[in-house]
Order: sequence, then structure tokens, then C-alpha cells
Amino acid sequence: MTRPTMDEILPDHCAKSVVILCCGNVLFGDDGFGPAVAARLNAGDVPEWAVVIDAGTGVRELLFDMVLSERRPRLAIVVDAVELGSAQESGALRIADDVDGGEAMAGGGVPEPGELFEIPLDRIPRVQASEFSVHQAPTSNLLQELHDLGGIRVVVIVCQVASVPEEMTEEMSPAVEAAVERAASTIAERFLREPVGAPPP
Amino acid sequence: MGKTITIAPVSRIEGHAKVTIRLDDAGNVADTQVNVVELRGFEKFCVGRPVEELPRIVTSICGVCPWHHHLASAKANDAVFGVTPPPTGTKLRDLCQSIAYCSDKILHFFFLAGPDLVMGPDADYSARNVLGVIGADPELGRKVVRTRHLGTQMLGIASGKSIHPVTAVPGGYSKPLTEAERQRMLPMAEEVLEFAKFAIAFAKESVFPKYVDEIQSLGVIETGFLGTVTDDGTLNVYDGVLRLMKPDGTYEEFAAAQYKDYIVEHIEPWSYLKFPYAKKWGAFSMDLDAPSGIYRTNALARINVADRMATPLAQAEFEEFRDRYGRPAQQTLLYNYARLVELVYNAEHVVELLNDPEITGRETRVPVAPRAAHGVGCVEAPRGTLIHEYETDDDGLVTNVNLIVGTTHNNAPINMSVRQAATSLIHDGAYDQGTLNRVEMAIRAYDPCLSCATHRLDGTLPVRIDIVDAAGERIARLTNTDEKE
Repeated sequence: MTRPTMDEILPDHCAKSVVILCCGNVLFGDDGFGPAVAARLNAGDVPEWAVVIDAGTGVRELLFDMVLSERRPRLAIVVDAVELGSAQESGALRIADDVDGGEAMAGGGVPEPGELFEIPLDRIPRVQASEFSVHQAPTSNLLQELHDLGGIRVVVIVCQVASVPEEMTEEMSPAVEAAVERAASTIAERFLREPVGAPPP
Repeated sequence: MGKTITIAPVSRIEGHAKVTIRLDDAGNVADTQVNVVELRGFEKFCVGRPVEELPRIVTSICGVCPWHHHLASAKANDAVFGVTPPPTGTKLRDLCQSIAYCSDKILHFFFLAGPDLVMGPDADYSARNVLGVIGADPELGRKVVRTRHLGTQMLGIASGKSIHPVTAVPGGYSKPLTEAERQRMLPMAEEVLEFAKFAIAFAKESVFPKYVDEIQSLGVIETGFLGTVTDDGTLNVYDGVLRLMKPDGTYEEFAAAQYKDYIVEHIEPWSYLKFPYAKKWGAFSMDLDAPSGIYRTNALARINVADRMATPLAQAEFEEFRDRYGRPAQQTLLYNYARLVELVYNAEHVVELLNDPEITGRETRVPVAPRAAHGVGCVEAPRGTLIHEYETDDDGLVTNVNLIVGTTHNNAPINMSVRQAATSLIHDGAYDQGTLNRVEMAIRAYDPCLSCATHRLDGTLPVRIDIVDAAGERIARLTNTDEKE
């Protein structure tokens, strides 16, 4: 039996140097933000050194494999929808949309639906433990491990939801729907313009 | 004064559950409850949509077992349209089912339950996770991940998409497998089989012997079992008849479409999730001393109800398991063992299917036409028997939907096993982290996936135990995180 080479079997989320993991459940209104961003990004030009994945509700498996893979990306961007509560308490940084490509700045105040934030990795565990997530956000531990063990830079970009419905609907709130384009532009501008280097050997 | 211990949520199971252990004044267990939030609105969401869209939509319900929902939905569509897929179409679906099984079993054993087993329930939480396992044996970690890459790659070849599959369609499968693709997949499948053989040998030699006492005691309850077998009693995860076995080993068989004649759902006021039970076995009762109507699904159930396995290596493992534990085996931790027997079967089955000349046939689907009908589709998802039931109008638009997912079948048994574990481990108000980890082990043995049952998921959040007095005041908190008050 000839064993397949690693190049033959390595999935994109481990093989590319930039991986954008868009999480959420399209059946639950604003929770579909991540997949909508994935669709928007994939409709444009994604450089060959990057991949945009609509991880839906299955991101945890991808993260497990990324953490432990022989080869890993240099940069992982997690895109998600959340109920943030107080941005100040959560440590989330507001992403200004009046700057090209967005710019993270200190949070504060009550987040408005559709506002975009970057959450520093070291702030996630505490926030997660307060159950700020509205769905299967990647686990804080796995993201931390991705960073610590994998040496991967991890960026978490989230959108404040208006609400997540009790019952299924594909319809997002106007504020979150409008944020999809802004998030996609910001991500493309910040992370898809220049390669961050070849995948590690 | 009585106390309430809450474990919320249970770490490392897929989804969100809250475990409440209520102690009486003497500090012994008075009651336990495992709570989850049920997914709501799926039926309403589906009504009015073309039924052929459902196999695509259902993959969004659950990121943990999208393939199994996809296939159960496609089978329900076959029934609604009144068609039988051609043999190649059926085999391609079966192939994907078994590949997805292999990846799932490996995920569970090594990433979810494994940390308990490999590191031990008394290990510190910071080591009692997958990285603890990998740290203890880096080579093992590399093998595990490589094998999961193989599964992802094979599903990608066979279907184009491994995360949100779309290739099972009413009447069959939309994409024939080329000879070149088959040749690429075969060595991958053979390597997965090698790993499956290694995994079960590893578990039998290095893991299970350490838990002889726990296997015989932790979470053990007496129930019936439900699983799918072929006409001659062989375990099958894609198709067959449902076999419902009583605790005494006697059983009845029925077609999935008749499920409502055999299974009914009980409701408890404290749980959103329903409690299916066997209709003909008397009133529903989760009393540990006199349970009634309770049956279990998932790997241990399938191994218990089956007379034999379809492949040689799995048959040898099956015989060894049965010789050692009898039929039906009631020990809850044996789910972990049964899962590995199933891993061997599915890995062998994938190789077998890829060596079947029909797998590259060009006729993979038959045409369908809309009609008013009712249809049931059923597969064995890793977490248990998965039933999709649809009704349509003359235009083929959905008028009614009902699903029973694997974990829901196990709702009552999970509650009972938690109660059994807590009752046997907590005495006179004395418990520690190791005690509570063992309670969690009993839950995780079932590999409950609550993604289907809830959208308010908190992932693999750590465990938190609140101890509350009878007045509802929290008097202590045990946690396995860095979380601060």
C-alpha cells in the first residue's frame, strides 16, 4: 500500500497560510452572519494562499484538526455573530467603519446591532464563561491552543446581533445584514491583500 | 438544609447541557436532572418548501453530523417520491455514511471521551483535554489527525464538499465516482482501516484495562436497546429494519416507517427535550430500580441488538466483546468500546465498497416527480437512530415534518446514568472535582450531540458547579476554569 503524501490529504484549512473561518447557523436569523460573510468573500477574489470557509456549525472539528495538524496556517480569522453585552467589560475593540479596511479601537458603551468588534484572544475565555456567545462559537480553549501550541496568529471578528430568534428563520435583521458587506470589505482589506508568508514546512 | 449542585455546561460534549444534582438534608442525592434546550421551529421553517430542498437544508441544523441528516433526509425524500435509488447511488451514499462514521468515531474517542480515559478522571482539567493526550503521546496525536485528514479528503473526493454535503438527492446520488477518484481514495481508506485496527488494539491494551471498576459501576443502568440490522440480523448503519430489544434480550423488528407504533414521546416539565420510550413496555419511568419503557441508542445499542457484523475484523472484535460482556451489555462506559468496534466495521466497509465494481457505475439516480405523499427516512447516526418523516402536497411542497435525532432517544438513559453515577459517588455531602468528572464521564459515554436540539450552544465550555441551598442562595462554587467570581 502506498501511503498518500501529506500534500495529497492536507485539507485547505491546514494547507493555506491564511484561513478565514466563518461560523454560525443560517437557520437562526442573525446567527447566519458568519456564513453570509463567507459567501460574500468567496464571491470576490480570494488569493490562492488563503481560504474562506463557511464552517456553519461545525467549526470545532476544523479547529481540532488545525491545532494538531503537522502543517497549519499562519493566520486564522474567526468570523462570528455574538451578543456582546457590554463591550467594555468583554474587552472587545470596536472596528471603525469610517477608516479604510477598518481599524480596531477601544470599545465602551452598549454595542449597537450590526457593529463590528475585534476580540483580543486573551479576553475570550472570561467572556465565553459569561455565556456571551449565541451559538457554537469556537471554544475559547481551542482558539487559545491554536495560538499557543500552533503558533498561529488568531483574530476574532464579531458582529453584535440584533437578536437571535427562538424559532428558525433565514432572515437577518437589517443592521446585521448591512454589516455583512462592511465585514467582508474590512477582512479583505486587512487580511487578503498581502500574503503572510508561505505555509510552514 | 438541602443543596443543589449544578454542572453547567458539561464540557466537551457537543452543545449545551446543564446538570443539576439536588442533595437532601443529609447530603445524599435526592434528584438529578440533565437539561437541554430543544431546537424549535424546524417544522415551521420547512413547511411550504419543496421537499427536495430538505437534504440540503438539514445539513445546517447540525455541524456535528451533517452527513447523517443529509442521508436520512434523502431517504425520506426517496419514500416521499416513491422511488428506489439505483445500486450505485445507494452504495455511494453508504460509502459517505461510513467515511463520516470513521471520522466521527475517531473524534469522539480521541478528542472528546479519550481525555477522560487516557488522562484519567482525577487529572487536572488543564491536562484532561485533547492536548493532554497529545502531550502524553505526540505520535498518537499525529496519527489521529492524519486519519481525520484522510476522512475529510475522501468525503471531498466523493462529494465535492465535506462540511455541507449536497450530493445525496431524491432518487440517488448526484455525482458518479470516477475510476481515478476511486484509485485515489482506496489507499486512503486502507490507511484509515490500519488506524482503526491500531485504535482498538491501543484501547484494549492501554486504556480499558485501567477502567475495569468504572466500566462495571459508573452510570450502569438497565434498559432496552434500539438499532438497525439487515434481514439476517447484521449490523447496518445505512439501511435495514429497526430492532427494539428489551432488557431481557428479546426483541421486535419493524420498518422505520412504523416507528410511531413502537416509540412514543414522554414530556417532563423541567426539560424542553422530549423523552422517547417504547410504547408497548408499559408506562414511562426513569426509576433506577424499576425503569419502564426505557431504551438506548448509539453504538452500544447497535452492538447489542445485532447478531453479527458484516466484515471479518469487526466480527472478531464483536465476538470478543460479546464473550466478555454478554448480551445485552448494560455497562454505560462500554459505549466507548462499542464505538471502536463500529470504527473497525466502517473502515472495512469503506474499503469493501471501494473495491466493489458497482461503485463507479454511471447510473446513480432515478428521476422523481412531485406528488402528495408521506415518507420516512432512517439511518443510524453515530449518536443513534435518526428518523426523518415528511409529508408533501400535490406540488411536492412540505406540509409536515418530524425528526427524532439520536441524542433524543438517549435523553432518559442519560438522565438515569447521571442519577446512578451521582447517587453512587456522592455521600454525606462529600464530593470533589474527581467525583464530578466521573459524573461527566457517564454523560460523555453517550457522546450526546445537542447541536440538533439547541441553537444556544456554548461549545466546549468548562464545567461549573454551583452549590445552592434550599432558598436558592449560592453558597459555594466549584469550577475547573480560571474564571473568577
